[in-house]
Amino acid sequence: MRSSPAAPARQGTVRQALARDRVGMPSVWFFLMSGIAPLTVAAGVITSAYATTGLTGIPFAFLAVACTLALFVPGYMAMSRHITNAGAFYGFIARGLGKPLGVAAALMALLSYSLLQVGLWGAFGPAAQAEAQAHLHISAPWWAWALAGWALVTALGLLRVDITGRVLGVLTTAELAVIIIEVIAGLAHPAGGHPSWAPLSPRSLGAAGWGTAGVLAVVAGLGYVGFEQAPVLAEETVRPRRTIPAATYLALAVIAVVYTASAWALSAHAGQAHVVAAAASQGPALMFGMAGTTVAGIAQLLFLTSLFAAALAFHNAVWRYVFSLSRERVLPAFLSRTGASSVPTFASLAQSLTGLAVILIYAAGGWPPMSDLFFWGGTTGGLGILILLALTSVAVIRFFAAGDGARARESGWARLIAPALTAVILTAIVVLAVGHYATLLGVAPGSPAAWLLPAAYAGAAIAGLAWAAFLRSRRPGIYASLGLGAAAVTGQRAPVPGDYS
Amino acid sequence: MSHYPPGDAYRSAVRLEASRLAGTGRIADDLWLIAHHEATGRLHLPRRATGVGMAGGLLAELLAVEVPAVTVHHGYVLPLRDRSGTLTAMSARPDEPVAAHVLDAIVSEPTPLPARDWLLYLGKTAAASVAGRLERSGYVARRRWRLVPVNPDWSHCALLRAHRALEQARTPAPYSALLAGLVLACGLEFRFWSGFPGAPVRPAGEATATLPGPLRELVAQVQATADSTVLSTRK
Repeated sequence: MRSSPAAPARQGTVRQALARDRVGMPSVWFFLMSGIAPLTVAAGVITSAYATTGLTGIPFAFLAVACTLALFVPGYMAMSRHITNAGAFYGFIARGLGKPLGVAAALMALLSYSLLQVGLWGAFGPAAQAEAQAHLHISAPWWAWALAGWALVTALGLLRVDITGRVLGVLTTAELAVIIIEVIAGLAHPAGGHPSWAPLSPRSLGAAGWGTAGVLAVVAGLGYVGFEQAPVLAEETVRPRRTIPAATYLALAVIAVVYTASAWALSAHAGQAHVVAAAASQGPALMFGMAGTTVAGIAQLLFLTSLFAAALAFHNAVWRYVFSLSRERVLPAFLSRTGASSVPTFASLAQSLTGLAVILIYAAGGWPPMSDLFFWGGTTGGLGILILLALTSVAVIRFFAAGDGARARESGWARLIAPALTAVILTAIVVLAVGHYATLLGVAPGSPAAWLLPAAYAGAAIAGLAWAAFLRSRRPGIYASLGLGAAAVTGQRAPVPGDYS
Repeated sequence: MSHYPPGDAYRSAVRLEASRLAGTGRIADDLWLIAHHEATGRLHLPRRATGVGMAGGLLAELLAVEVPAVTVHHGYVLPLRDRSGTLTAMSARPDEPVAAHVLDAIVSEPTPLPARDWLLYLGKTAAASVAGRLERSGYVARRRWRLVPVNPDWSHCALLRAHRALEQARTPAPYSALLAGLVLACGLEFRFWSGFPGAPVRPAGEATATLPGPLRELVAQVQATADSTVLSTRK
């Protein structure tokens, strides 16, 4: 029997039906923005950054990092057109730089996203504590509220409840609206009668020494975590070649403006010379108080929902990552077993148990949650993302250098120039940040945390390389399918058009 | 008062019961019974994942016949032609309407499509189509707004037929191997844990290794597509 020869290419019923299910640009954009949690960053990260680092160049840092990430996007999008892998960094680095580095990147990504998720409890707990005290007159320690939030996220994670697109869209829009109101109020009432433009100057990056530019970049980079998720939606999007990059650039632009303006407004309202002390004493309230008590009340509530939504989103992101790694046996197979609700139960519980352990450790240790858990966890998680972005940029260059045919049709800008520039800039940022990690954490030089936290990534990388070596020697079949994503299951890199003779 | 109908009616009822325990012999029917709660008819999985599994079952019915009209090759679902170039579907059209409808859809597409596209497309209506087929066969009945298995034992037997392929003491029969492969691929593995706790089983790959190439590839495509529904932000 012979199979059917090719027929004229017109879109049939199936493709038309599937196309109707696909989402457009607004859905993709809202998906990105909701993962970024704007008020969490504007009120939580920025005020904590001022207070912890003592650096005032934060506003320009957001602009500089946005430009760097905009350079990252062309190569990233180009490679995502040739590779479909839900564990994006892992898949890209495995295909571009080899399987051992891919496995190393997988464990680093897992560490990074886990830190980002568990760090959120350090802000959620105190925020819930403050709201409960003010409105319900209930007094309980921050960790009790963090545990309550944790329990809810655990349950919702197992039930596979994501906050629905519409609810998330409303919350994100409200967050952006509140931030804009606060920013306008802050800039309209500057200390000293007029806002200083100095924080928007490139020179502000080096005001405390150019070595601290890396520290500022890590803080700013944390604000953009989530923008890299857009290719995850490629298969569900209308015209993905156009929609995914457009949504990503739009998200970067909006975030850059919002965060730059937020950081500038805080500096202007408190005064550049006093913003560090004001942030240390008031925390997120420094942001909320710029536009009066009514807006402050709404902002505080939205801050709480923003943190919760971000915690749930990152929880779901972590178990999805674990699932995709487990599917390829980078992680143990049982982690990809799904129960009812199609949730990989063990993966979801593993992430939850990590969060529980961290909350209990911080509660027992009596350490300040906002600085030592939220800010340390968040910035260290952000450092990991920057490392992975740098590695991915190099992977893009090698991937396209090694290929021909369809790969050669991508532009030289996407294949080489943009990723090369990005790799150099991000590597410099990472080196500078690690060299000044004590400044980032707000601790004395030589403090154990200043080398332990960044060293965790080296540990994850070494573990990944060792595991890859083990798979290569003892499980060659599994090793051969590393980095292939769904093709690890089907045995095909991609359906071969016309190849059915 | 007697609990049983007299004479011939009793024997007919017993024969009917025995045949229903044996199932319809159609993969998608057994998959439907496994994917839905035996007492309430509720889905065990989210709708998209269930749909992918059911679509896989319907495609498997077209492949697992003596003269298949389609095949799965290199990720594509392809209509087959005989030596004269005529579509096999013209002479080997299934009698069963749901299967015939699926075959008609495949041969009427202007170009061959990836298996993943078929699984997602057919998955939208597969569960309802198979449920309708089971209702006409008397396996399920409507209770309020939901179709529910008439007898929970028939659902248990479907699960048993799938589990047989995983029992280490047995050589997997082709039907059981295919059914087990699809059950595992679409994420219903936990049905085995609850139905047969602690039973030693062979790995899924071993159970489906005896299947012909196109069926193995179909099972792999169902798994990959079902995995994508797990990773998706949509249910």
